[in-house]
Amino acid sequence: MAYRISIGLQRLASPRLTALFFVTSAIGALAVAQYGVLATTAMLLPFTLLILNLLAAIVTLPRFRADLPLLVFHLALLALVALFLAARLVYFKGGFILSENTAFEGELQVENSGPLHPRDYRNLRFRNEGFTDALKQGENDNRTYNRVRWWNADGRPQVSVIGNDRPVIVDGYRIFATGFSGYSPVFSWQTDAQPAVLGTIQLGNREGTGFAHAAAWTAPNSQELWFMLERDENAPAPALLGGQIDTRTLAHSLIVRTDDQRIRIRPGESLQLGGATLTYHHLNTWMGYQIVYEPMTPWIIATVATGILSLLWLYGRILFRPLRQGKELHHASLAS
Amino acid sequence: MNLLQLELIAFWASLVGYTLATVIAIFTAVLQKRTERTLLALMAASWLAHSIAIGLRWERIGHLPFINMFEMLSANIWGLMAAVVLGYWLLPRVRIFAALLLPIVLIVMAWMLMVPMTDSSLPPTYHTIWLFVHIGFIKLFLGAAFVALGIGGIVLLRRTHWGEKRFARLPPNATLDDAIHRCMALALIFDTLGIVAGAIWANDAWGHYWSWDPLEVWSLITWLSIGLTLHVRSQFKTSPATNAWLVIATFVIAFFTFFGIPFVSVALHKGVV
Repeated sequence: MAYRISIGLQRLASPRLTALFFVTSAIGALAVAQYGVLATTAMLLPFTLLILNLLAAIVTLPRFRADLPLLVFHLALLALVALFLAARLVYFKGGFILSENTAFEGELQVENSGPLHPRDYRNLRFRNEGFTDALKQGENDNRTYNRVRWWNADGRPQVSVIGNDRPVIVDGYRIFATGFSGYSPVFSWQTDAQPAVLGTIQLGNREGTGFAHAAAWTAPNSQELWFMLERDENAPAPALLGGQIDTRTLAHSLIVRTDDQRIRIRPGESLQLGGATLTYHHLNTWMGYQIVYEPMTPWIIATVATGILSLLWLYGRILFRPLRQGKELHHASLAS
Repeated sequence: MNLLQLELIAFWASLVGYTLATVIAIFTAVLQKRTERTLLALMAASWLAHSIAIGLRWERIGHLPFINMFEMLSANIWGLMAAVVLGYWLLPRVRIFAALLLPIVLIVMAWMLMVPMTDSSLPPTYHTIWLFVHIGFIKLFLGAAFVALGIGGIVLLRRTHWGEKRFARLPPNATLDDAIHRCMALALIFDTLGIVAGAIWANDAWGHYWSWDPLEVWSLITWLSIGLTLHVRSQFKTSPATNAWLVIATFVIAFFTFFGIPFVSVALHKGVV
């Protein structure tokens, strides 16, 4: 029995299987890129092969135990595969939209997560406080900065300015502002019988063209309305806030379509709609956020660093010695 | 004279220098003349002129000029020439490899001259030190693999009637194979560091370390092919000629990754190396 196990391990430790790992990994990577195969599925075979092959090689081949940097490098590779697996089990990636001055209530527009993710994001306390564009004259350098308020583990409020290149980390979740953002006009709806109700509509992504800055809305009286933001081209440029353009000072009006009517309203103006009054108060904004949770990242970075250092150690020994000449090579081949 | 004029003078001086160096390197190989010092001085001077041109462009446009296609190709020529000059200086017994590599640089140069020489603008996601680190390591990787390619070419040409006579005085194939192995070991280290730095940059820029975009996938395939080349040599004791073919295959994959993918990819990460 022990003999059979030993033979089996030696076969598993074969360098041919290692070569097969390189080839199957390349095929798996191409399958992910070209055919949209799930990365976890595509890499299952090569990584299983690598784990079995490396474990068997470390157990059966004396060279691994005699050569410390070689051993450390291969152990780091094993650890890396295990960490990738753990990372896939607990990762989380999602997206959500918040209007200005509203708080996150755990609702996501898109979501993707591993089966063991604890889903703690629902308890995050996070609030959008509006954005500004950093648009320098004559430069194609348009960054959006979003001011957010969030509460740390002690319940203390914090304020951060985040962007598509600068996240805030709340309870291990990294939250980025994105280029997906737009305007949201704030209205009140009042009937004779009921007090005014305040609400907002999120118009389309402001980087879009055509009717991008538009949205449809069904009023409480079931009337179908359609809104579109129209910028005032002749107005002076928006005010600067800390060197950045303040989107809230945008000169504009709203086009409202209802049945066969087309009405233009400005902030403070009202519309009579079948016994109700719709008042346009001011223009707010909304922001799309990306939220990411990858708790294995520090471990993966540490393992990669260990692997690279061992690789430097492993090859450093041969890189700085003189090139072997014909006679030395002859002796070396006889010795092997 | 303004910065643009100075940049153009330095740029064209470097291109003329590289072209002359290619001609001299080929004549040296074919006619077996000894022009090593002249060639080294010419390549080093041309590379210096190219460095000045890139420096002036950096100063003029206000950011590292590695963004659009013209700048990418120019930066790649600069990196490959740096590797050739360094290899030429450090490996005096195999200097003939320059005659095999410089024509490749010339082809990339011709490609660069067909691309509009426009100024680039820096996207917000490129405002990070990790971009420099990533580009730096990938350049070092390509340079090490390029020198390995040149020496591998000698090993293979030696098998021909033409090369057998001309390369007879060079070190034996086993010594050349040893040099190739070291270059490929360096290539593996630099490529690993380049990919890791790129992943850190991607996380800074887009919130994820790896997204399987075409350039990332082909970078992984390039890394796997270097690993396979080193593994096959060390475990199967293959001949220098087999190893040379593997190096050529690896370089072809690397070349496709860094010069071909930017044309076929519509992803955000289009290959700035």
